[in-house]
Amino acid sequence: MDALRRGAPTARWRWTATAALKDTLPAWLLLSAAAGLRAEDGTEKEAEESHRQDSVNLLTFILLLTLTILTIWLFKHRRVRFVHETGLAMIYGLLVGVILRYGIPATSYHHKTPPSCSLMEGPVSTVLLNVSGKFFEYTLKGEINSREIHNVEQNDMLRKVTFDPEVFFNILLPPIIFHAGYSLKKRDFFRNLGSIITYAFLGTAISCFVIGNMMYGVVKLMQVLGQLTDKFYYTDCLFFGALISATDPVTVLAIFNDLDADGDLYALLFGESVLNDAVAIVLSSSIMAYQPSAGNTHMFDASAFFKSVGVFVGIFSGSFVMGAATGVVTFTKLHCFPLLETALFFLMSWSTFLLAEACGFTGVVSVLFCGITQAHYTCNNLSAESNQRTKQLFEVLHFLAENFIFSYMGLALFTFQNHIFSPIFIVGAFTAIFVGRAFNIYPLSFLLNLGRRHRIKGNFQHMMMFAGLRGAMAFALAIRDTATYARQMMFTTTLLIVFFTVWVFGGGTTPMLSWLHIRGVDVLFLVFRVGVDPDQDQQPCIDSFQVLQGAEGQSTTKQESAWLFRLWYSFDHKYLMPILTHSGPPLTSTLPAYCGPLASCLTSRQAYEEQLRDEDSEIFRNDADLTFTFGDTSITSNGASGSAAGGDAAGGSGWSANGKRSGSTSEEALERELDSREQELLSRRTRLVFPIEDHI
Amino acid sequence: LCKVFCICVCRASSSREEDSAMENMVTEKRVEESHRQDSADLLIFIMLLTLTILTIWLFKHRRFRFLHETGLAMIYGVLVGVVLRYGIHVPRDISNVTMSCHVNASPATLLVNVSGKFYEYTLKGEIGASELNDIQDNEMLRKVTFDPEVFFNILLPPIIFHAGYSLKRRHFFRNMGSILAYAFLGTVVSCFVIGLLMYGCVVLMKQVGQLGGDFFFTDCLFFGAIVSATDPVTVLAIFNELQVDVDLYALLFGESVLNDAVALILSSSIVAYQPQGDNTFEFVALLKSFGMFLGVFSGSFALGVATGVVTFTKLRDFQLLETALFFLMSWSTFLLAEACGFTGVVAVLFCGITQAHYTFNNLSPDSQDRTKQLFELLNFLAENFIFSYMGLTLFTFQSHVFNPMFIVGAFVAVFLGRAANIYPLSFLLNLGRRNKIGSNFQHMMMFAGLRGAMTFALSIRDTATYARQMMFSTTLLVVFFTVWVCGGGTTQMLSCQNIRVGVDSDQDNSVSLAPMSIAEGSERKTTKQESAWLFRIWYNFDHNYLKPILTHSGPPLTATLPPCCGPLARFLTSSQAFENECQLKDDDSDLILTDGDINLAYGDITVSTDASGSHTSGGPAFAGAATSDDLDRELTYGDNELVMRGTRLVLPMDDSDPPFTDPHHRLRM
Repeated sequence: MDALRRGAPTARWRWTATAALKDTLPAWLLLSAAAGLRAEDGTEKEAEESHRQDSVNLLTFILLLTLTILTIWLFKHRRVRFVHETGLAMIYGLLVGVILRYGIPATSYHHKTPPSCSLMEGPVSTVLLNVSGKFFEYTLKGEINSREIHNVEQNDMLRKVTFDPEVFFNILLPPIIFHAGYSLKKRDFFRNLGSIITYAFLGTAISCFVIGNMMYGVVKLMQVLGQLTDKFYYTDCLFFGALISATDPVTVLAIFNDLDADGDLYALLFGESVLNDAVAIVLSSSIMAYQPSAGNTHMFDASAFFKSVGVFVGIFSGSFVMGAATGVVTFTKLHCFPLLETALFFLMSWSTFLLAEACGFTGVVSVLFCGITQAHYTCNNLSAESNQRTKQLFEVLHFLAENFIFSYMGLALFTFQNHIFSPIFIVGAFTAIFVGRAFNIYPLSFLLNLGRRHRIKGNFQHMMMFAGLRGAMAFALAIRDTATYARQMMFTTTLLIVFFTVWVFGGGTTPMLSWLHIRGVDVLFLVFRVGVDPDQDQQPCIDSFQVLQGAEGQSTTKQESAWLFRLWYSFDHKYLMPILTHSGPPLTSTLPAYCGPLASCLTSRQAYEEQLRDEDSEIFRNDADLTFTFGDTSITSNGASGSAAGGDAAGGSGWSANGKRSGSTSEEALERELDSREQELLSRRTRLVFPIEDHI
Repeated sequence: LCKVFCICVCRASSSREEDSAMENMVTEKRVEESHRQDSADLLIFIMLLTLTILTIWLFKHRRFRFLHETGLAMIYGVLVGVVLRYGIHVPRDISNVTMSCHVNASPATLLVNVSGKFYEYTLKGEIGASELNDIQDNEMLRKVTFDPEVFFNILLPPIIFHAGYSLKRRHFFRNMGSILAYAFLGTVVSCFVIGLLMYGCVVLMKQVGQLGGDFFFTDCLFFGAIVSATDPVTVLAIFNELQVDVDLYALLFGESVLNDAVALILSSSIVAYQPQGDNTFEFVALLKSFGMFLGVFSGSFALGVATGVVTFTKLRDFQLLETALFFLMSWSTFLLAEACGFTGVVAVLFCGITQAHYTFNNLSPDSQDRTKQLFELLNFLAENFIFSYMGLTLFTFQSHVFNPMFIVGAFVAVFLGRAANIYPLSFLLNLGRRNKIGSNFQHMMMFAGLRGAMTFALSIRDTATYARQMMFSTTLLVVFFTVWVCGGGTTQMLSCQNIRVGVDSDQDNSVSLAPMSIAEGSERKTTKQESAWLFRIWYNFDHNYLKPILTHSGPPLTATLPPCCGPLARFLTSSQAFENECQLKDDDSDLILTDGDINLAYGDITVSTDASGSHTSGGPAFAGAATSDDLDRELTYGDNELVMRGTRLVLPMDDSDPPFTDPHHRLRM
């Protein structure tokens, strides 16, 4: 170090380089330099120093996470609900960011001695520097904006705590997304499948374009006012719309979970946010792919547009197919060795991501669908122990990754070097987001309500509108590329939006819920809920439910459910499940008689055995869930139409729905218990997938 | 703190707008392409692991024991390495531009200005002059070569932590003295023996003219240090499966775990040993080096233990938070040690041991399972990854230096070093030990000197010089040979040495426990004299004071401290400990488990001394103790009741009522 200190100030760099490049793609560049031997020692020490510095930086993050966990524990202990752990992580990140920024004096040390050489081509990927016979290798890290170049030299410390943006995309996001897919509550999710898909695809596209157009207006305004210092194209606006359309209501969902809020609402919000992310990613990458051929980048170009749409469809379906395929392929038979099984499961999920990336699709999307498929099929094949292990593993990974991202967000507000705060743009963005969210929710809800029996009520719509938090995905998309002026402005604005929504909306969820009377008024879900210990109520509610379902639930079921969904379900249950998992009825009973040999070949031995035994619960659960669901739907419409006449019945249904609610939204253990009772209840009908003529 | 930024301006000859736009796109595309390539490379590794897992499952299913998963991972790695090396030809797009600049140092960051655009380059490392041509040779091979620091900072910590966390406490503590002797003294002996032998070999090579570069005495010692780290995963896995004698298992496992730590620090202090003159012996430098060894070791030890102790979790109600916290604390130990200039791996090892001893008792049962499973999985993945990477590097590493003489010399030296470690030390230990280490055990320990992940990680860390490259190639071969040959031959060796392979212990239980408890009752009196007094004092202290302060288990401090410290004791004892005290219920089992273990261990020693006299009664008793984990647990539960009355008096002596306990056993089983 001493050597370096002495040597550094006197260093005069004169690069008298003359290069003659004839090849088209220069991948290697060899620079030779002469230097004193003294410098070598310094280099080694410097490397060690930098390693130590890295450790300290990582330690900062780990301690941040530890602090967050401890505080969260305290909050949970005291039942404070205003701040979720993600919000807290951001606050701590912010504090540390302030300290790093202003508390530690900038120790920059640099000299500029521009040597000159002429290069015809662009940058090379590797530079070899020859210092007195020793070769040092340098790899290309990225392009740096000319405006940034001063910042780069300014503060080394801040640059150190800034991660490579790809880390977020390739390391931190996959576990989060996979966990989301893996823990999609199947029952509620499938019941609301239509609505969720509508919100996620149509809604996100609408919101993207609404926000994009509004932002374009804002940008135009800024141009008129002279506030814009650089280019901001229409595609940039659309890109902003796409990245900001990805909602991530973790905070709200956690509160819902705590409070046992309505299951439908939960499923709608969660399902939407999960699929949302996938749509937003693919949308943003197809907007980037939208590059009109002509020089004028802000004019509409039909062919480029269609190409972009093609990219969207292609990437999405490709990722979908790949994820689903891997999820299905993971057909483990390693029942006896839970460790191997878990490891295999983990590796397969990860390889989905890598495979998709290697093929040019979007890894995150395919991981999402891989998670959903694995939860549906592979999960049934795992042994009970691995089932739990995988769940816990991904839960921990998800928890850590999410809190890490949020605390990094807090940190980035101060340590990121090229923030561009533009008040007009920020205000415009906030407005655009609300308008975009409104355009997403209200019209679509209206349309959906035309077709839905079980309507999405006004207060639900308001709640969904309110729960449009932005989170990890928006951040990861925004930080991915911060090279240009437009992108930097977007990044800053996104950060502020995330902060605002997480703190204000997340903190205001509980008041909002009570204000919208989501807990207090809704006839079905609430009256019986308050202060009811579900354990005590289980028995009566199941009884009443059974009666009710037998009497009127089943007959109306058929007409109400979407035929497409029913078709798929019966196909899945009869053919896919038996082929892909050990559960479900053996194929021999579902296939026509002439396929006998094929069927017996495809069905696993276990399926036969399990048909009779207790371990069956997986199959039954699926069926039971569905049947239950349909019954529920009918009850609701009943309750709405004649509340006086159906007082008793509605009361009964209320109990039942209530019991079911508590089952679906409260902690897992209860659900398991409830389900196992339902199975007994419904086990007679299980073989007929949609029992219709079954009157008690 | 002083970073040097070098800005190199390259004026492009054509600086038109279109050109730069085109350039931009080309760059973007290339980045994307490289990202895709990276994904594909990583995918190769993941697929390798998947394949390994599937094959292992098949082997386990068929009860095929010749090949452990690590050996298999290496084979697959070698196959893929061959394919990558010879099967795939990447068109190279290389143009060699030589520019001459006068630079004083190699800065960490390089800014290159190409026609107004700045590109940032980061220092990747130094490259040997001999490698220079290889670098440009085949990009594909370079892509699948990881940064060596990855092994040290990402893959090794979970392996080491898991080892520390899963040290079987009972058997470990029982054989503590021998394990420490083997690990510290033995490793140092082996390091110097190997170093000296290799120096002779190198001198010989110089005479013959086979040496192509410098090879100093410190290099030889360094080689001795890295190759002294044993890693008998394969053997231990087979022991586990066959239920081989627990003492042997504990000796081997404990030695290999501590071994790694010693070898690591030894090697870093050898690197630090830099005499002023050229490679002559210098006393001051040696002392400095020795001081550094002690300093780094004790620093890492203290840090690890401190963090392990500090992790005093009370988050019992929130398992997720608890698990996450546990994980983060373990990791932060590593980082903290690295940041302080100590060795992270060693700190993590002791952190694991301490956490298993104290923190584990504080965790809720759910989290105990979770953390165990989590680290088990991480260990499994990291270990197999390292071994398959080893196989891969045999072909993809670019600067192998295979020198037949050196390799033969190294093999001989490794075996001699191991022998010099085991036999003399065993002889010395047997002088003091009641429960002698039989000669067949010694042969087995000699045989089980496999080399593994730690050796590889140490040798790949620095492959800049000729000496280091030769070491790396040789190490790789040593690892291959030992894992395949010694690992594969374990079963044969066991039967050849007449080492008892566990009888199915479930059946023997009831039989074995009866004589044991009798033996325990009658021989209690001798126990005291036999166990080391130092260990006993420590155990007393730990049980009476440390455990109650640091965990929820153990007797409340109020009972163990003198009355004058009453208020302090009440303050330090957690409320849970009080609860536990009044109702010695199931939760408690942790506390009694440890006590039970120890007492059982004492009893066991006496039994086995007996056994050496008369084989008939000792055999079954051994079998009872020497079994898989589940059985252990069950056994100790049984023992809990047995020892419960004795628990309060830590080492019960006047306690002879064994028949009382038997019904409990039967009931519990």
